[in-house]
Amino acid sequence: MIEIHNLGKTYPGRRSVPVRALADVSFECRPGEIFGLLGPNGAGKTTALRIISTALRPTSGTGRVMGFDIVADATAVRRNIGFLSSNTGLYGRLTAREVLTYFGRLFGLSDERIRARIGELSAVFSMSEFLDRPCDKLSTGMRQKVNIARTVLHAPPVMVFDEPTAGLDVLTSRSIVQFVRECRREQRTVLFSTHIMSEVEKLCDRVGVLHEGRLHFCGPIDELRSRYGADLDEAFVRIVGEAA
Amino acid sequence: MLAGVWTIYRKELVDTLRDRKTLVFMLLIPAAAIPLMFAGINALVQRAQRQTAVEVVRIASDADSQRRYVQLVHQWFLGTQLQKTFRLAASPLFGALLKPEQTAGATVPGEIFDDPAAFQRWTQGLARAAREGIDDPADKSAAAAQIELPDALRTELVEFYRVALKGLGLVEFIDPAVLAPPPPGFVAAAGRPGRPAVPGFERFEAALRAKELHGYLVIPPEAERIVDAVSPTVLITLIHDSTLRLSKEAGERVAYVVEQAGQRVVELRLAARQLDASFVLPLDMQGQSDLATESQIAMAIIGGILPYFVIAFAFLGGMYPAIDLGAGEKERNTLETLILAPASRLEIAFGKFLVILTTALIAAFAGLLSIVASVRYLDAPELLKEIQLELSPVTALLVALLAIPPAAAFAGLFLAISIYARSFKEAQNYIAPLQFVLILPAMAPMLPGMEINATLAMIPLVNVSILSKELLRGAVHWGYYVTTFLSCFVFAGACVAYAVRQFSREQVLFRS
Ligand SMILES: Nc1ncnc2c1ncn2[C@@H]1O[C@H](COP(=O)(O)OP(=O)(O)O)[C@@H](O)[C@H]1O
Ligand SMILES: [Mg+2]
Repeated sequence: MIEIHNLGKTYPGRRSVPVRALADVSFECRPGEIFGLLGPNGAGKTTALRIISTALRPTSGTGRVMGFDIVADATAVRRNIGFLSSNTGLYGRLTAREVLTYFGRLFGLSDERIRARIGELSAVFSMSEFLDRPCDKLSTGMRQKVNIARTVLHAPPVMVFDEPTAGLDVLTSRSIVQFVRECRREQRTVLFSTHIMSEVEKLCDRVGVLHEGRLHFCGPIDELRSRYGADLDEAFVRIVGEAA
Repeated sequence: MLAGVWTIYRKELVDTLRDRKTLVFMLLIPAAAIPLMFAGINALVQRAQRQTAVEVVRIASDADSQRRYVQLVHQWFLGTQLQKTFRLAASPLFGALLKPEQTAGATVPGEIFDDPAAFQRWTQGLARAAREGIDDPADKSAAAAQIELPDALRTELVEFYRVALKGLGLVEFIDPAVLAPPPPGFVAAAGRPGRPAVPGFERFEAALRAKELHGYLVIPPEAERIVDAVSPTVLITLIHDSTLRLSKEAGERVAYVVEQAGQRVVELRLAARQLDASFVLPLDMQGQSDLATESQIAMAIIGGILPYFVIAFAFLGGMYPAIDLGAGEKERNTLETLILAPASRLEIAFGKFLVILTTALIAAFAGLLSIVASVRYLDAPELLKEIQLELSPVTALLVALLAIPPAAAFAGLFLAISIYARSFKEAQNYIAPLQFVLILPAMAPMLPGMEINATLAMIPLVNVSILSKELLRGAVHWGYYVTTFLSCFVFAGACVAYAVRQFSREQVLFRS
């Protein structure tokens, strides 16, 4: 469960010209639901997801993840979130197993539990053949699998994906999309950002349209269609145009 | 808290040790630097010594100057203690004691004591034997010194080698009259103003430039009656060019002979007038009044150099992992994942700090071990060999432990810089120039008059280098020792605190 209210973020910016990246953003994301945050580059998607996952502090507004405050209870929030973005790196000189073990320990799992989880996940993502290879030697697809396994290692109830398919090939993108669906099936709360309309159409139950730091629409995908037309690209342009 | 630090320490250490570059900086360079340096210095020194030790220098000199020179050396020889030993060897009694094959290489002709020319021929023979022999005469006299010769005789042997062999036996005289005229087109170099007024100077200079001759010796007639007639100081000329190796050697050999022969003349003059040696040396310092042993003096010198290496190696060992552990996380896009884990920023920073401390220490210890091993097993300069003699295990341990404070200070400083830096390259640009700044305190003990006191004991690095010098000198200042650790740890702690703060600043974590 994610609830945020009137979230705002202003970066100090260069040469002390503040950058207002987020203003007055509120939405809710429930278990078993995929919420899509849709917006062009620079809209504020990453900023919003980083605030929710506690990497950044909001300048204004509040937020809760599984009932924990994202500022006051940051550590508890972290334990409940799995975060993945397309440019998340791995430690190249460590093997996939070592990376997973490291993060398992950081999340306070016992070594026994870590072993068990790695076994499960390596079956699910068919990683067994490269589990003991250094990450440097893995293909992009393999690396993405390791990354996904890392995000769900501690079985978080909330998943946050920041443009997870950006820059990936079709096959890898597809497996990620499948994984996101899988998360919904497992009744997790899924927050997903993208600038690609078709992904929203394929995946999301509800959608928030973000532009220049403001949320211009927030509701079920069907409501978006009925209000702005079936063509989502067209709909997006109209929403943004309405705001201007 | 501890579990988190341990998790991070373990992972980062494995990660770091798998990096080949770290291994190079941490082990290879510190371990190889000293042996290479020793080998280099030794090779250079030995080559230079070997070359000039048994080389013949060729000196232009007319018959009169030649005769006077030989006479001076002969006169010197007759004043030495060694001369008595040679007399014994020349006696028929000695010859009768030895079997013929034993005396074959060591015959001393009786006429050398009365005839300077025979003496010259004899030294030339000795020199030839030395040249043809496997090693140089320096080794021979050193070998002789090994067999427990009395100090006096040992000194005499070395003197004999320098004056009689190098100064006479290994000198070939050429009459300037027989020199070939300079080749056509030879232009005399514009040396010092005022060309020496010696016969055949032009020819000599051409031969000098062609490296066929190495000096031109002129000894005035007064030198012959120098013992009886007290004249103004007799000036001996050796024209040479100190920028040419053998010409410089010729200059040095003749100067040494002149000095020693002059001392002999003083003795003869005093004896002729029945005066004591104290007549010309009315005042002197009592020797043997320095309480420091030779080893202590050696240690004081080494103590000045050693901390320099320890600090430099700790720097090298910590630098690369630090850059990798801080800025490297940003560069590889792993930082965000790391800070989204429930580990606290303090745990992360402290775990990383300990890894850098570890590699810096490994580098410092590798360097120290390499120094000790080099001194023991390689041809180390004489001075360094003494260090083995007086280093008690406790002192050795205290010196080794003294690598910890600078390693900690560097680890903290590098970590703070590395976390602050945007990228690998930026971190490198910040840290690399520090090398020159941080090496300065390491050189503190080389300054004269730097002794440990309460103020210096509180300055990180300066205290380490001065204190380790004191330790090697044999002085253990427990109070300052503890202060040194504390001051470096406080500094490191402040750096780690700064690193933790940087770790919590959004502008630093997400700089782009
Ligand atoms: N660390 C930062 N400092 C200053 N401005 C930033 C920083 N991060 C992002 N911004 C600005 O905030 C705005 C939103 O950025 P971001 O959240 O990354 O957008 P998106 O992920 O939707 O592309 C952009 O104008 C961007 O330039
Ligand atoms: Mg983004």
